[in-house]
Amino acid sequence: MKKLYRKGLAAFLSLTLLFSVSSCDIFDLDVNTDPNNPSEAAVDLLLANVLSDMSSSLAGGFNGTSTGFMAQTTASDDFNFSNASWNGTWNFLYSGPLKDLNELVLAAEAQGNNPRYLGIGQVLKAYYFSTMVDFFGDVPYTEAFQGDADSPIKEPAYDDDAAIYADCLSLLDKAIANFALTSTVAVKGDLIYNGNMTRWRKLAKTMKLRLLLQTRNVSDVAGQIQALVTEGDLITSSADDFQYEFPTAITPDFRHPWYQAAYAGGEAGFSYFGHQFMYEMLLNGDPRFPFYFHRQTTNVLNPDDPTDKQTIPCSQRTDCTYGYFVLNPNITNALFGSDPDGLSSSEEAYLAGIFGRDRADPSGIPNDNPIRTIPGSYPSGGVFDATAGSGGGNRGSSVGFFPMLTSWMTKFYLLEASITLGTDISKVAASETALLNSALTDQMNKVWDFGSRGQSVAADESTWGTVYSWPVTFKTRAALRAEVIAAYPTGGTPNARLAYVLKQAWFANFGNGIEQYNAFRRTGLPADIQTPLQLPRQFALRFPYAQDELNLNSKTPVIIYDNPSAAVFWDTLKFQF
Amino acid sequence: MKRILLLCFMLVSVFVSEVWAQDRVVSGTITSSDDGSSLPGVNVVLKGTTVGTITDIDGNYKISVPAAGGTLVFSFIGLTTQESEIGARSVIDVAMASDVKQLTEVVVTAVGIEREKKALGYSVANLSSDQVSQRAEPDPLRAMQGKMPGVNITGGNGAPGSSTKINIRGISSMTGNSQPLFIVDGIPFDNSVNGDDQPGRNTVTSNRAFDIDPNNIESISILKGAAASALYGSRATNGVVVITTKASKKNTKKGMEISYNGSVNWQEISGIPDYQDVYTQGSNQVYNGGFIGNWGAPMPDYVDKINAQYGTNYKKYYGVYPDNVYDPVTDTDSHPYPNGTAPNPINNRYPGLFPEFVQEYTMEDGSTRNVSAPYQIQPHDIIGGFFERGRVVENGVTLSSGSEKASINTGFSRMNQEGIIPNQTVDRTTLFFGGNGQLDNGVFVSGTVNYVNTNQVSPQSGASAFNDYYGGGGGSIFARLFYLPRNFDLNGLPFEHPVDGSNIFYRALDNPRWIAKNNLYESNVNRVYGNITAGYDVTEWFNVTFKGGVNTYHEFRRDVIRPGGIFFPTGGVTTDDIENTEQDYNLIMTFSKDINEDLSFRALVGMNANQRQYSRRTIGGANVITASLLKTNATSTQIVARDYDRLRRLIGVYSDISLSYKDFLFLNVVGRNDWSSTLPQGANNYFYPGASLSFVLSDAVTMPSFINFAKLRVAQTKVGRDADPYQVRTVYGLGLPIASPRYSGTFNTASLGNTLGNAALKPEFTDEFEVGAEARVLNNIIGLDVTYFSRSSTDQIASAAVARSTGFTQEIVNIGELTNKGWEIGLDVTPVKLSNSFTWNSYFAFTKIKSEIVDAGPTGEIFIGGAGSTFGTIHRNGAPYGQIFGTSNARDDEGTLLIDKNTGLPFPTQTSGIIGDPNPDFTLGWTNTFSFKGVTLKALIDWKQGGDFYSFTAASLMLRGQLQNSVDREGLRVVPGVYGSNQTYEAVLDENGNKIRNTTPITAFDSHFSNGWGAYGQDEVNVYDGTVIRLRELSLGYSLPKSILENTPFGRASISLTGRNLWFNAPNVLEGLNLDPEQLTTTADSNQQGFEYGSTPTTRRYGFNVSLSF
Repeated sequence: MKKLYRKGLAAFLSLTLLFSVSSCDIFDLDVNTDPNNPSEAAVDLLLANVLSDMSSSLAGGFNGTSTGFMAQTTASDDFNFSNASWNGTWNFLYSGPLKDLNELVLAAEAQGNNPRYLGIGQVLKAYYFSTMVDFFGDVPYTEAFQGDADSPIKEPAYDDDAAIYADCLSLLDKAIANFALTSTVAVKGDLIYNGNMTRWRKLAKTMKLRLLLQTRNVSDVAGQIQALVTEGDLITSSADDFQYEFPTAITPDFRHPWYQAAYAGGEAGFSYFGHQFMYEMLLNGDPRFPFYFHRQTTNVLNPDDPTDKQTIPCSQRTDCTYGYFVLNPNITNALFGSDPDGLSSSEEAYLAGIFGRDRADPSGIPNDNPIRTIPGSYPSGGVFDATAGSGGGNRGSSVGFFPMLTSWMTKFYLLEASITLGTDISKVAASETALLNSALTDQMNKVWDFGSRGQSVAADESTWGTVYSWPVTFKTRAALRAEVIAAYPTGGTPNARLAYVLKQAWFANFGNGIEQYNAFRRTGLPADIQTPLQLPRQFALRFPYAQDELNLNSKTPVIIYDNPSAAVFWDTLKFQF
Repeated sequence: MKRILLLCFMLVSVFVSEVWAQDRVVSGTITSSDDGSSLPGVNVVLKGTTVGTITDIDGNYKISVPAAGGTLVFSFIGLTTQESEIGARSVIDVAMASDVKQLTEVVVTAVGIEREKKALGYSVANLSSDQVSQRAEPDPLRAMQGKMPGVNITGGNGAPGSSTKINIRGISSMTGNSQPLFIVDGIPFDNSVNGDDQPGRNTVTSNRAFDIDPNNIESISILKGAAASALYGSRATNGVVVITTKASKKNTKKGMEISYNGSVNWQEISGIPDYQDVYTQGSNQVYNGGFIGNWGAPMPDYVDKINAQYGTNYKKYYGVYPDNVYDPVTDTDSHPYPNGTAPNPINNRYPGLFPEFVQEYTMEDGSTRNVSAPYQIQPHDIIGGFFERGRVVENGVTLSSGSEKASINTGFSRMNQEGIIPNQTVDRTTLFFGGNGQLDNGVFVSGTVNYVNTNQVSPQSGASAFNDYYGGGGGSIFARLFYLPRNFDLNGLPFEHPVDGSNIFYRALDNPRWIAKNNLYESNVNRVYGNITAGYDVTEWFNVTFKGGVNTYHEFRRDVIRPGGIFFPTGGVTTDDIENTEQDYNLIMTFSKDINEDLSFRALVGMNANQRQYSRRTIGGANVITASLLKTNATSTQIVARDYDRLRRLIGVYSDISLSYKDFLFLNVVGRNDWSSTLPQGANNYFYPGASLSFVLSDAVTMPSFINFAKLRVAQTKVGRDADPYQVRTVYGLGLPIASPRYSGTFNTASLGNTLGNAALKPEFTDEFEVGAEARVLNNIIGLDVTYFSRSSTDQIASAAVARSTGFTQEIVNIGELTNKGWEIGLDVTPVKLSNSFTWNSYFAFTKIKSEIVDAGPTGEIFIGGAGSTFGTIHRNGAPYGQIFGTSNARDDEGTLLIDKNTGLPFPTQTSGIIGDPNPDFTLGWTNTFSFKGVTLKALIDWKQGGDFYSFTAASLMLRGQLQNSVDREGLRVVPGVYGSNQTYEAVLDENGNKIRNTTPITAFDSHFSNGWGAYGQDEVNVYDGTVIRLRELSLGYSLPKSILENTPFGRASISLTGRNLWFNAPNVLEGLNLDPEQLTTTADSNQQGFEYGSTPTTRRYGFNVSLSF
């Protein structure tokens, strides 16, 4: 009896415990579906993400560095890179926006009957990958983004750069065909054109023009370019510009990279502007100057003060051309016709704020953040330079944008085509000078439009002399253009004309270094940029590959980025100092 | 030891045989010969029969014996077995003595099985209460440092409550968690850090094992190898730390006992660098009040000396007035500041804000101007003035009471620690209750419940590579504190705006004092854990036990950046709610049977169900509306940064079969099968077996008389492990919405995830072989315990980096192989043992582990990450675990530095590589105990040999010219090397084809700046060998003798003086750095190792403890 009782108790106990445990869900093992992330995403969500991320990268590292290459800022102006330099950017692009773009194209193809998203994807792919080629030469393309394919490719091959360009051109043709199809799917997530298909079509054609022109030294592209011009469906009006406008919210901070550097912190953290660029604009009386640049100080540093002495630009070199503007007799004489000690106090105060660096000045970095010249209201949305004032503190409008393919760029392309290929541009403008005038008009109007937003700017520059107390006399836009047009070497050699045009493009493409860097490698122009003060390495003909890619993908070529052998396929010049 | 003996009570009771009626009855009381206390649970058996009984809770027994003759055998694990002829006696009292042959007699092994140590075929380490409590160390893990071979414990840093890393027998996971499983009172105890794994800000974050008060620990068993831990299943790969708290103490003395422990300890910074006080801030030997570096002119006191020595012409003033004119011919200034002064650096930045820093200056032309007042240039003790003396106060009371059938334990404890920087505290309050008893129906029940409240506060003081590098550490005190200009009076100058409280500093950085006052991180944890056990002997050989428990905590964090600073000017508040709940149930059936006199058998079959639920919600508020209210709802923008849930389940069935032969040969076979929710459905079950053998040589054969004990053991076991949840599929991620300035509305975004899921994920396995020997010789004067182990972890579930051109950053893979081979040696020597009770005991815990990445997957390497995308920790085929990966200087084929002829400096190679091995060659903990008549002196010396680390602190101090070793800077220097080309990366040859020795001179400043030896040089130059020897613990204790206590209410009283980390020496680290290499880069759950980013320095602690019992 006792034993029976015991056994019964034990059985009861065990069963009760088992039951009480199993009665809850603890035995249900089907709980491994991630509740935190979606398993699919709509194409419009991908599109918005691609545009935002890609634009930030283009306007950030790519633009910053190539602007530095072209002596407008000091970013990487010594061309000194290692495989670590672009590791982060490369990794971000391939695992981020470029992959999502690929997903977008695949999804639009798979959905069928979705030609608009597909066309947009194709145009973006052509732009982004031709840009990747411009910076890296051969890159993974046909085998890229197949980590999750049914037969995954873990070490994608590097496609020939010329072949990628060719495919980009065919993508643009496909996109144009797709835009002609009717679709019931409304395009959302389009931060560029908000679903306007006409503009996308014009972009596709203008992008073709851009890529064809880029390859003009290695292929016979005259006929194709002529056909595009004759067709007359290019971006020739600012309304059609391919540009990305950055959000203005502080949190999350997706503002223009230059704005973030110069205005987001407690004080400015922007690096330096190039002295030559600022000097020549001042010398020209270029009215874009107060939009491009913002002076932070009016105090002249005292070279007799030991601390100031080290803070003065070029403090550790003797071979600067521009040095410290306000104390450089060459500069003060050229601008104001007097030696430094003969400057008026307003001239002195004005020049004190022009605080950048000569090209590749290796002097140490002093505590000059509150002194440096920082970006103005164009294109990053900082402060219009009515008076000198500190950066940082979220000042300015923060209405920044990145011009990717604009009407003035189209016109500069057409000028180059006319000069070098003999393209007939009469469909767009009556003459090269008319076209140049039109390009400059478009660009300057954009400067006024964006540079005045959220600011108090006297829009009529002829009143500036009375409104602002600048000692510099800025010309009106019209006067400057007239001057530029008048000096155009109409009867000159193609080389002279091209040099003239690309020098103007150098001033106009401020804010898009990619255009300048490409043009320079294609033409060697403008040729009058200051020689770097130090040259630890040669002019960068491209970027080095990413360290991770070298480690993880055995197909990654080994190159030396400043060696002529590394030049991108369309670069026949292979510039060396 | 008696406590451990008492633990056996339950186990032994399983074997109790029934008592048969016999002719007469013998009774008696069993006591301990050590202290005279009664011993419950002692086996009393009539020799040669199965007749027997056990003593009750008061040590009494009664046994029926034959009318004449017979012998009683009294046995108890851990005590020397005694035999006593009954003769005509009816009362036989016995005093039993400890069996000195058994150092630790009974150990808790997997799933709470208590076993004789000599029966174990594998190595288990034990610590008793007195080895971890009252050690001036509130962190239970750090209290164990240096005390057990095979266990490597690294404290994060000196911030109170900061996390601690523990690794047992090396690290067996390349990318996953490498922390052992914690089992507290039979239930898994979550030890997560819940960090963000950023190298930047907050390594003050705790690991949650910190919720255990070392003073409430009754005992700790560390199950080191797979053989010991396999029954715990999937999480046992990294070993298991089994902690029994005082709440679940199984037995107590009859009546009531109250004990009290209290201690006060003070703590100070363990080491500060040897700063140079010769040169001021600036560069190129010119003073500059805005610089960080100290490459300026000499301090006033050194000007004459240096001018005389080097023929230089330094001035004693450091600034000039506005009307100054410099005459280059005579090298004179017309209006210098007074000798020994410079313009006040605060007024330079905030002109006029502090009237006392303004001077009205009369210019030569008679006009007046407000200029910065003269500021005395002299060295300041920045560090010493900033750090404070911290304090640790601990108080704990335990009550226990026992009766014949039940006992209860309850108590509370409180710890309060103040760190060495302002506003850095942690406190911990524990309440516990536990009880056990035998119900009238024979069911044994026990249960415990613990409540812990842990609160931590710290200013932003995480590890922080300073701003110039990677931007992450801008908000931390340690972003700058160690590198401030020597002439900057941090502690004397103002740090906050007198009107709006915003940050004041000499340049655009956050003032460490401002951070310490305003930017606080706090964490509040409420944790409850408890368990219930019910067991029943169905028959004399069959027992059923059910154990179930829950362990849950909620942590609330708030991270505040006050507006008005530089790092985040508009300020921000982030809140983080973390909740973790684990349930664990076991049903265990035990069968035990003596097959015959020589052979006994025991089998255990168990079933385990486990569920872990985790959720975390993070809200980031930016732009604080008013500095007087620092809450998320008082910010102008809030983002829900995280709303994360995780659920995982595991079911296991396991078995443990033991056979013992003649009490000298023991075979143990284990096996477990798991079903995990985190593996692909249909392929989510896996089995792993193991076997171990113990052979007690000294019991089997007659040994020479000098050998007291000898045992050999061998084990081979496999442990499986499942994945983390949600790794089977590739998912999308939603991004932050974008407001377009051009088109109305908000654009939502999404991106395909960067981690490739793996639908064919398999469990990973660790195979381990271990062999060991234990011996005690020369009358137990020398005891040796040696283990060799070799473990191989295969099919590692790793998140391996893939070339980004695949579109992904990493993939979840089953890859490769990682091996750890090592030696663990415990040597216990008692060189002196005098009859007057003086004893000197020495214990050595030696560990040597060699790891090797045999196969890191298809690419041959896994880059874990670190400070940069090409600078961090890497696993690479053929190399040991977790190497330091970074840039190096180019060298020629002979290893000589290549020098750029133009700069006179080395230049980097294009490609990064392995530049250091952070794994130590060996570690040795040496504990010396001297005792004499109640006085005990204990010293633990800890030696870690090798282990490279990258020191950001060293790099920064060198870069900034702060250290004494940079005082010699007037002359030029030449870097030893040959000229090389940065195109070919080869030496440049002269016309004869010979290499050209570098003769390009550079200044000391250049040598430490770009491409030199400071932080701006290549990564390799800042890697140091982290060998360190330290005096980890020192204590002097005195137990009052019984004779004195007799007339007091106290049963026991002792007082001790303790010291911790009183001294250390790291001989191969940069001279004068005085940096304790024992600092973690990130939190303890990270796989990164070998980086020191600058964080709260470690501390030196000293104080006293009092322990009383009534």
